[in-house]
Amino acid sequence: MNVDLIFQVAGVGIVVAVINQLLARAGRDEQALLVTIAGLVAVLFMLTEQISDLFDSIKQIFGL
Amino acid sequence: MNEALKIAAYAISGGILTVFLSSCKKEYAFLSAAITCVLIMSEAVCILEDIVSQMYELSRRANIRLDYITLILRAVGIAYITEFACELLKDAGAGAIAKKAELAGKIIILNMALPIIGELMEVCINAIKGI
Repeated sequence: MNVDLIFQVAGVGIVVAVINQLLARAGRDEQALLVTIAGLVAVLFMLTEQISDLFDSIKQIFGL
Repeated sequence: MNEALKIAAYAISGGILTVFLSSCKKEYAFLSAAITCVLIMSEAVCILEDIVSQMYELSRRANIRLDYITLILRAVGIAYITEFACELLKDAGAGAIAKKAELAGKIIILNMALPIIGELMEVCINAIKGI
């Protein structure tokens, strides 16, 4: 649980944006789309892990 | 004090990054907002643990039945969870789904509270019969 996670997401976003631009300029639009989707899925994995942690602790605290 | 500073740091850095990302990549702006929300909530939930145990202690001292306190705390927990999902969805621009999640949370809480309401009715009926 730390602030690194936010910077990780932002970093992935910036890197993907740059790669996306490069690929789009090179005329490889499908690959640019695939890179975007791959980055999105990677970040989504991190996010779901954190959300499940949060919900687990809420469930444990409130005895749901 | 320490927690407040921590949460402020999370919120500011997350907010700045979200605003920055929303100009170049919209999807990542949403994800970074979601991660920030989760981190802030996790910090807050750690404090909530103390509050809940203290509420149990108070209710034990006041001889309130444990069912009632458990019910209230469960309702609060469900409200927190649905509110969290609702706000994230609203941020992502899916207002209709957000409203449905909120409604479902209300229905679940009502379903949980209904037996207690029935008990209250029974008490009222008994009191009237006593007169």
